Amino acid sequence: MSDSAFRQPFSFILDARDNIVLIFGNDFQIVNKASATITHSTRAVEGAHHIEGGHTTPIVAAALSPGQGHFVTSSNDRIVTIWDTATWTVKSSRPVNKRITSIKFNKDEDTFIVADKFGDLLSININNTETLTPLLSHLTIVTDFAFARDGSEIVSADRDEKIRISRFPKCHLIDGFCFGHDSYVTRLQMMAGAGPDASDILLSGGGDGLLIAWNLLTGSLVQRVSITDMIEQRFAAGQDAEKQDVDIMAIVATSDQKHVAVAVEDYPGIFVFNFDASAAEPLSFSQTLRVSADHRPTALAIDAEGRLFVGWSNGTQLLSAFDLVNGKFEQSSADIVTTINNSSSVRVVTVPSMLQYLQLRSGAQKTRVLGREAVRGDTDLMDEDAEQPDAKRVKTDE
Amino acid sequence: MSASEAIVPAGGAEATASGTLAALPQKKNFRQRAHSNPYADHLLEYPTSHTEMNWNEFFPAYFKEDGTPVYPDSDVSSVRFLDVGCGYGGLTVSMSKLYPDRLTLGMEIRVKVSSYVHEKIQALRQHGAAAATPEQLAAGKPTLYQNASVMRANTMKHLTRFFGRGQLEKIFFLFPDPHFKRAKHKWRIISPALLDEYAYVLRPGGIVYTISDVLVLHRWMDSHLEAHPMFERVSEEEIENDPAIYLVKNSSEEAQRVDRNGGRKFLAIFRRIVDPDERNPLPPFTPAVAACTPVEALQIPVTAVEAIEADDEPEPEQE
Repeated sequence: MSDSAFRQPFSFILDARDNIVLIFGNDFQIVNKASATITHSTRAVEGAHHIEGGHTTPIVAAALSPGQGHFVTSSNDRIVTIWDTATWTVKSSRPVNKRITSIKFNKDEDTFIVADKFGDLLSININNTETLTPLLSHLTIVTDFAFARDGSEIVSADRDEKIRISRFPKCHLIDGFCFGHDSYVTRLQMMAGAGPDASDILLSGGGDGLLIAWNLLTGSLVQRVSITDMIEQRFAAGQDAEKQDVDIMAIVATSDQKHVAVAVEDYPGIFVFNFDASAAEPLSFSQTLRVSADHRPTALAIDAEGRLFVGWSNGTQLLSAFDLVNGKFEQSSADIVTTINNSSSVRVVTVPSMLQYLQLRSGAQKTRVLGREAVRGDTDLMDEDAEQPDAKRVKTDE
Repeated sequence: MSASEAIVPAGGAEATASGTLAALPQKKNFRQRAHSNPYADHLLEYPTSHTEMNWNEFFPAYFKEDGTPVYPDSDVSSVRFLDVGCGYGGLTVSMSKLYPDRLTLGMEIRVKVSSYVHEKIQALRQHGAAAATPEQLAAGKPTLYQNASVMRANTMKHLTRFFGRGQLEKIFFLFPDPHFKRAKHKWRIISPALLDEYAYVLRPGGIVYTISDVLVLHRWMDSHLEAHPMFERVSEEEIENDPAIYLVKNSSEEAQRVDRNGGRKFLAIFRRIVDPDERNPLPPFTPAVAACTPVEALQIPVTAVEAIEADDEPEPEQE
């Protein structure tokens, strides 16, 4: 071990049935759950197979295929790499034009979809990575997307507060929009509806600190939960006069769809909700999970058994696991947690900032003025002769 | 059209209507450069969604203060014609006169230009009210130009917040910004991404009108509309019989500029079709009927002296 005092936090944790995949910086590792050992790593780890052909810049998006046969990663230098999970070798690798923000598989093992910083969604076939098939475009960065209605719809979210519901793969056909976020949308999580006729429910999080449940059939808002307010009320009452919206950075659900965990950027706790699709308000707050005020979440994952993995930065622990006991999450002391905290990741001189959404916030539309008088006549503010988006000017109105 | 309406040809000495009527705004006070960055985060106002939009401010004769329509379940209970990038409002104003049974909205991102159109419509509404016959007033129907309005908006970003699925019957794109540079092609108002949204807000059978004097832009718009699965080309015969075409070609300030410079005007006109996989497709609608000839629709009451003095262009305002 080097002298460096910190370890690189996990930027993504992916559940891969018998294994979990941990991504940190340029690297990733495969940890076997049963044996609680690191079996494969792009970094030299004693007893683990070395994975060749890893990224040379930080990994910014990753996904496993539905059958778990393929693993796709993309790095900050706009390289997309497809891995064969049987051997953890590179199957193919290609550059793309714009930085990838999200990767997802639908139901097809051989096709994955990427969203990029230019607002485009593109489909790539694993056996023919030369061809990028454009699916749909947003005007601004697509931050996340998800599949709905048994894979027949694709839901995409962008920096302009917009969530678009399109048919898949006929993406030119728009089925609707979900409007209600006051800031960029950061994360989407699909929940199956209650009963065969019920609509899927979409959960979305944004830079406005809102967790919103939507009826995906109508695009109508079902429930709005302000995580910003929850933080104010529960943990910081009276301490912080200036209320600042938080960025929701991760939303995950248990496979039985009864529990939802939400992480907020730079806040040392995980919010857990019970979920009931048939209820008028499907989300009900259940508990907050925290280790200490130093532990800020960086990644969330829930495996098929309902074990919640939380990656942390800053703190003494890199990872915690929580198991469901009588409907509540309790911290687990499973061997895998010990292994990961002792052996995983790499030591670094400084902990890199994990704040992903700063670039979205800069210049973003944080203001929506419904009272027209407030703006009309204020020609100075409205003079768009300035060609550049002016973050400072927007902020004056916050 | 009413014979008693106050039409004063450009160059006429004075308005026939009362001297207290508002003069048309002076365009020189509203000049602004032609380009605007549609990606910039302007301080624009927009509703969360179209169901929350209160149109009273824009069409006070058609929407009550609480936003409910004055004539519910009619063709004037919501905006049906949209002029995207309406510029100085020539088409918006003349379409409203050609089709008094539809609400026409112009959207314009440049603040000074949209303010100008706002002033112009306010003045025209006064003229329209003054010109109404006693019978018209007794009937209680809104007078001329009450069905025209303008909004400062960024349609590229917010179109689908203002209009619901299948709401619009016509969308106009008159002489849009060519954005010549390849890197700026994404800013063009016709693109695959935006065509998805135009198809969404258009009712099946609704028409997209584009016109440009820039051949490369015309080819771009034409080919993207052609390639989009939800649009089909409108036949030549149908185009010839569409009274709106005359206004598309002749109503706007840009069209007059092209005429002055001897430029050509290229049209690309497409119909929104039903996709076989569309969920609950909306039924076809009955097209609007023109209430006058397009030439008549182009004539507007001008308080001539002010308008001529006002205009710093070689040609008097005659939109």
